[in-house]
Amino acid sequence: MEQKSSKKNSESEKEYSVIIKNLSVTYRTEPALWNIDLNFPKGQMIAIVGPNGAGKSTLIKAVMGLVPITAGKVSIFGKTYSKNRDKVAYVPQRGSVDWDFPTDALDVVEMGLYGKLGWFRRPNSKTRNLARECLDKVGLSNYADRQIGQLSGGQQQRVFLARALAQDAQIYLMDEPLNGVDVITEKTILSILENLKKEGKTIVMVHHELQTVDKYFDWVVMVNRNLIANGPIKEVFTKINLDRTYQEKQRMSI
Amino acid sequence: MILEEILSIFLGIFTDYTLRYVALGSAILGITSGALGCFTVLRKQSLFGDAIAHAALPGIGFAYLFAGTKDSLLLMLGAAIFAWFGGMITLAITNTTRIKQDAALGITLSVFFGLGIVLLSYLQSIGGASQGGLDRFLFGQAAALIESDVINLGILSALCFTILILFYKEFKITTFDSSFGQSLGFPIKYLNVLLTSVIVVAVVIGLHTVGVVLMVSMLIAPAAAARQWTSNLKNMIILSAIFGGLSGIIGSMISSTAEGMSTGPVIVITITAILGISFVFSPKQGYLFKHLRNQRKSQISLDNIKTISDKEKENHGNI
Amino acid sequence: MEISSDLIIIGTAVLVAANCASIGVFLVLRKMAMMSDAISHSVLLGIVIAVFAVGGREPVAVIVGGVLSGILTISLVELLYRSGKLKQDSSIGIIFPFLFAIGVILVTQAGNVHIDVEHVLYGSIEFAPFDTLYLDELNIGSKSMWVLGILAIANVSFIVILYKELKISTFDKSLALSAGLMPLLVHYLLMIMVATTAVVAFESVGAILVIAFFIVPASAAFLLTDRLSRMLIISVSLGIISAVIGYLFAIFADVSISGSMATITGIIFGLVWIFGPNRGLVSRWRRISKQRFEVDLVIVLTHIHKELGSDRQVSTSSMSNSLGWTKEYSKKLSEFIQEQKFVEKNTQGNFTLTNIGLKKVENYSN
Ligand SMILES: Nc1ncnc2c1ncn2[C@@H]1O[C@H](COP(=O)(O)OP(=O)(O)OP(=O)(O)O)[C@@H](O)[C@H]1O
Ligand SMILES: [Mg+2]
Repeated sequence: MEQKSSKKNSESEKEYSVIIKNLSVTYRTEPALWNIDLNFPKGQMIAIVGPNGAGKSTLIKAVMGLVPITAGKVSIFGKTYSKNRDKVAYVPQRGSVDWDFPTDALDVVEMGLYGKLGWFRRPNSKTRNLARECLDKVGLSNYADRQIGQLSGGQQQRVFLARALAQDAQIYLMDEPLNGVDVITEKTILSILENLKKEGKTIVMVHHELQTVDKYFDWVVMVNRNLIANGPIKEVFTKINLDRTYQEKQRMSI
Repeated sequence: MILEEILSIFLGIFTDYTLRYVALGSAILGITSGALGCFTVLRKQSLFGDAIAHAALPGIGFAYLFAGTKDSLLLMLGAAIFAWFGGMITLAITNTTRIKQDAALGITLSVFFGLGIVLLSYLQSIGGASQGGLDRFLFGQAAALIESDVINLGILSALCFTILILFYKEFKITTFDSSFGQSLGFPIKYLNVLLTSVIVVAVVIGLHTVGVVLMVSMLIAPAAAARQWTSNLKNMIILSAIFGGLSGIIGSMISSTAEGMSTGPVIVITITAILGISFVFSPKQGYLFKHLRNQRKSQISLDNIKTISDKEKENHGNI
Repeated sequence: MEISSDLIIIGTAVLVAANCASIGVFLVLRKMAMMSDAISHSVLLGIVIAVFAVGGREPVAVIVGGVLSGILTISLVELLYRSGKLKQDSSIGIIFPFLFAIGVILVTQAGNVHIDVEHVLYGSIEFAPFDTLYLDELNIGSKSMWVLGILAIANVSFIVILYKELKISTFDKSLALSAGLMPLLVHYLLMIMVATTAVVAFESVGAILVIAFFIVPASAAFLLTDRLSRMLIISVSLGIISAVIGYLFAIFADVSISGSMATITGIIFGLVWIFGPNRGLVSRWRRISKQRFEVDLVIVLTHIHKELGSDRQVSTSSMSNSLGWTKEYSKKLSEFIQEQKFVEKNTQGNFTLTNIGLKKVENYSN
């Protein structure tokens, strides 16, 4: 019996890049995520949807251990996050940085390579060139030495996408990368992500525009503190599930 | 005439022993606090330096009390321990209560300073320390720096810079985007503690030259001035160190010309003047260039409006 | 009529405490505590210039000079950060050392001005009894008591008359604006009161103690109540208590009076911080760990419920495995839920939910 279950495990590891089991996260005493079982399938575009305060950012952060996990387990390609860190790229929610910071677009992109550099090693011409390539991919090579606060909102989002590209990961966790972006930029970003998908990479994106979910994504995760639904768009992106997700915040007090 | 005088003051650095040490000590302070001040400003902890400078006073008192010496290294150690402790108390207050950072800083600053005064007055009453000890600490005594002091300051400063250079990349990413840094696996908490400790050392160096009250200025003003000239962190740190060092040297030279003019205040006025100049003249963000640019822009847009209205006229004429 | 010098010193200190601690409440609530740091330092410049101008320490000139430099400080700070070049705290940290440095240089350059810069910082309340005020050669008592008394009346009137405006502009600036309560005017009036209080108080107790009395009692009060009126009363009471205890301790141990008072404000704050009801560290820590345990308990029961629902068994060891908890903690919890009869263990060591346990799960899940 033991063997069977471990075999089953490894099978699911082949299919899924992230496996989340029994995940609960509580800030102080208020639960933000409750008892979530969830897998992210490989090579898919995955949307996380839910109302404000539903715990979408928390879910992404919990995968990377950026928030303390109250209960449950997360595994990335079968290992803990700290062992498979280099397989994950992260785009934080906009507004988490100081836009007056003395740094330019290229420099920000280069930060994506700091993890691979490790302690004490300094950025060099190689990392600089890699960063330049990534900036080029998002069409911003002309803005390399622009201070980041002086880029438009859409350009800033693209810079952070380029930083994630520089991380050259298997899983891309992105917190509302299309927020405040015009239609053309949205198309550019999506075509880049499509390419990543074709390379077999998993893209997980917190997304607010419900109208575009079925157009852009293969898979949807609906969350409002509890997991409401999780599966291929065709099967689970239904009116009933949407109503359940966006209904009055699920009450729970401890 | 004036030029000659300035030259002779400047040459004083090479010929006059006391001035040489004063200038050297002040320059070391300026360079160190200039470089590290960039991080306090960027982390929106500008007044943190003020609080920890004041918090250092009881450390000096205890060092006197228990070691009974005036060994400057021991005093610095005491100062550093309490400065660090004060910084941690401030963070603990903001993390565990609803009191905001400004009030937490004020609490640390005033209470630790009060405790320090109690200790020093106690020492005085039992005949331990002289009033001079306190004076020296309040306003710094760059003028009394001797060779061994300068060597100590130099070693501490070198320590700060070694750490800054080794961990530059890590300090940068934790300051700019700490959750991203954490996702890359950098231990944000420890890095913050390390950075705070280095800033504490810079503050302790400053206590010797400009004193408690004015120390905060040496952390903020050079960084703010440097930021006016560049949008690159590395350049900002280098420039800020240069500004800090320059104000140390210029300040100690000016104060050496006037009897009884204390060095600390002159250094602070110098660095504030550098900041003012940067505000006005920096090419990217300065008032002067902004003004010129705006003029030119309005000229251009005026021209545009003209050509547009000319075209419209033409169009209208066509109709 | 002779009042003992002890009483004069205590009286002076109590008045300083009451004045600062009441105004300080608004500084703490408006997140402008460090403004008192800035003002209490930069008044030195105004005082020095006033002494120069009048040729002596005329109280009125000194107060006017100090208040003007206080206003100068506030205006410069706001000018700097409104320009968008600096954040507010950086502006504070640049302006006040600058003004203070000019003040220090003026003092040291003009040998005939009798201002002791150290005393500016930690005051000389010890001398309060010797500074008496004469009315037609009639000794009418300590000068500092008189000045501080008048200030106290001014501060109380300020707070009472503008109570509503202060309250609304502190808690909801936009509401104050739309209600026509002129938050900016209130802001500047408050700053003028801070500057006046700082100048007057600082004459007797020095810049640092002024800051202690402005910020520390008000912060302690902030941890003890949610009501503005209560906060004012608590803050003033704590300030006065610190002044009295601080004085007694200073006499007992033969140490600096102002330093001792500042230390006592800190000790009182520390006690409130650690032991205060509801918000104190101890009760907070107790509450949080209790709530954590409760959360974990529900997590376990929910987990068991879910697993049973899909025909899987839960034991102590599988629990620690699937919830990612240590073996010891899982054991502790599983013993607890058995004691509380939320679950029962069957012969294979697997759990089944009892009715009580089921109820608890259902309570929380909807
Ligand atoms: N650091 C924190 N401390 C305390 N509570 C937090 C913290 N971060 C988030 N929360 C709370 O947890 C809940 C979930 O927050 P989260 O940021 O994950 O929501 P979200 O779905 O990303 O919302 P949005 O769409 O607004 O980004 C919210 O109720 C929020 O108030
Ligand atoms: Mg979010």
